[in-house]
Amino acid sequence: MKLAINNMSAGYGSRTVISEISVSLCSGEVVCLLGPNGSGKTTFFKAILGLIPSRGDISLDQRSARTFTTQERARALAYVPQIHIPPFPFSAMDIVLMGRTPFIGAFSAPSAEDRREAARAMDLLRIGHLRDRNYAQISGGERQLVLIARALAQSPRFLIMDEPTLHLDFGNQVRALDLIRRLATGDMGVIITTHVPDHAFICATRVLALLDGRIAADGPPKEVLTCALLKRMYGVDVDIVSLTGGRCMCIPAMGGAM
Amino acid sequence: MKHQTQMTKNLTCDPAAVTDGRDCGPANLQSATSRAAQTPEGTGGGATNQSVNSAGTKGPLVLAALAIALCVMAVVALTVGRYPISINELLSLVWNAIFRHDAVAFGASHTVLFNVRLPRMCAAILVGMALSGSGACYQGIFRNPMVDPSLLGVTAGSAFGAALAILLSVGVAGIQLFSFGFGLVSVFATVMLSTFVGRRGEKTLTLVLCGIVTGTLFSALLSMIKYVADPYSKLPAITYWLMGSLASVNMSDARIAAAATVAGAIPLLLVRWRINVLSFGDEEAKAMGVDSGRIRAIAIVSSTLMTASAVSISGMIGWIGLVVPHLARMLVGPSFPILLPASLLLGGAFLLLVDTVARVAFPIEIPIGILTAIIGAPFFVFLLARGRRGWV
Repeated sequence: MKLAINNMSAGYGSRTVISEISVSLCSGEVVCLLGPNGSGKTTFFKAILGLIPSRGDISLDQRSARTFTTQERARALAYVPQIHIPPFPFSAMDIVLMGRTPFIGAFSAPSAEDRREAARAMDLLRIGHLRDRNYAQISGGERQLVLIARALAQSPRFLIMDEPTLHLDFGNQVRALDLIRRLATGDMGVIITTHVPDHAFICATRVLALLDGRIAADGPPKEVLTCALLKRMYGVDVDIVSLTGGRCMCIPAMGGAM
Repeated sequence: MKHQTQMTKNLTCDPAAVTDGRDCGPANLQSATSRAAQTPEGTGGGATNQSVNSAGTKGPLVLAALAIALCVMAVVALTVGRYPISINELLSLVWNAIFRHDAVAFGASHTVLFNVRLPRMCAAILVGMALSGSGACYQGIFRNPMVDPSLLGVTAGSAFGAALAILLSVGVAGIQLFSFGFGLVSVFATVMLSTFVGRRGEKTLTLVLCGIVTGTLFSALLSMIKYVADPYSKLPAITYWLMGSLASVNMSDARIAAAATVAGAIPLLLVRWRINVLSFGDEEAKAMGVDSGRIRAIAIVSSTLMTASAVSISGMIGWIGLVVPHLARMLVGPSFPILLPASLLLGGAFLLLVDTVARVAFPIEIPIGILTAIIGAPFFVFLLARGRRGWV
């Protein structure tokens, strides 16, 4: 499936945050959205998801997203928010089941089939054992997996993840990035934001660099992520080191004092 | 440490799956899904079904128990009191009323049962249901366990309406009408105000703040009416109404309350799953396919209808709408499709219990609003002390 964004602008009230963005994304890709604070990453997500009004066109397989109902859109695009704790003690299963909402009639509750689908999404991420646990009492890494399972239960074509590595310890960050890479296979694409350019080297097939609400660069991580671009985005000097396996890493240059 | 090893196991216990994903390229998610289900060491199969069953049967059992408790409470409420009616007498009275229509045969018992206790029992159940149901709904859609049905100003508006009606001496029906009308007006004003204020992205918070504004305004207007009211006749009447009582309810009041409660509860029961998803906030709910604005509107209109009708026949009865949903959540969990019917049944039974106590336990009848607060306040402290584990 192809998500084509053409000349999209969006913002809050009279303030435009992202402008004239044109990009098209395909399933199978892991697109990493990079950009400094305030560059419009979250606005970009909200506009794609239809949570805020936007100008320009967004289309899914040549069909304009404006013609989608909220429910149809949710079957195509699933959102994995940053980890949070809801005010009520929902079980992990309760939460994953909510991902089935786009397939549940307006006046219905989840069917046995929906429960099976939700259980399948949890098994896929190997968190079946968390099913009856209180979401508020499991660890941050487990919560992230529950939220991903909820998004997978929507059986979407694109998974849109807002900083999936935030609040995770080092090991869980690596595991999450690895999982993201595995999820983007065949008919599903993944779009993530992160503040760590290294994450793009680890899991992305493509980098979109946002700067002041516009796309500053677009392409494979190794081609796009240059010292010059990182300097432009983050205002710090960074060395990019090629490792023996062919991977790259960003090393902040601390004035040579060390 | 334990957690970390667990996580490692979760994601890497099937190295084959990882390699598949990397090397075979576009192995799609569906095949990965079935693979996971077939993995022998995975937790699929039997465990899945077990969980589905346990989640599916516990709720209905609790609901059935609550329904039985409500029926038992109803029989108790109809029989006890200053004029006791035995169970046998109750049965023959009901039999007579249904099949023989002979009102004179039982004289006083018949009057006590059908003109006094039955309407009062119906009213107590309906008011309890209305307040608890809308409380559960408001706590969900405003994502706050500290919320009760008065959040958007409906009770403040109703109180003002009733006081105004008493001041203008428009009679009992007039008091109910004014109370109901101003309850609706107050919530309508809150919603209009929040639309006017706008503030994209913070709609829920704006709505709550506007509810505080409307509530404060109507409370001030209520104080003004109390200030100008005749301190020997009107003021005591206003004060008594504000304490809440079901003592003067008749059958036609109960019928109106029943209609409004049913009219409010049905839409809530229909969109129960959507309301459940709304407790994750507007944006997430929308990303999961819920038209959050419309569902919230349905929830607010329905809850307001129920609350305003309840307050208009009973006066101010606090705490029920706050405490009963918590109690129901302890019994059946936070999922709204089961929480709503549980809150309705529990609310009906609980208020009927409190009303029966108010009627029977003391030499003079205590206004029910006082009793609910006296019972509710310590109970709430108990909840607070027990809480912190995700608001049970």
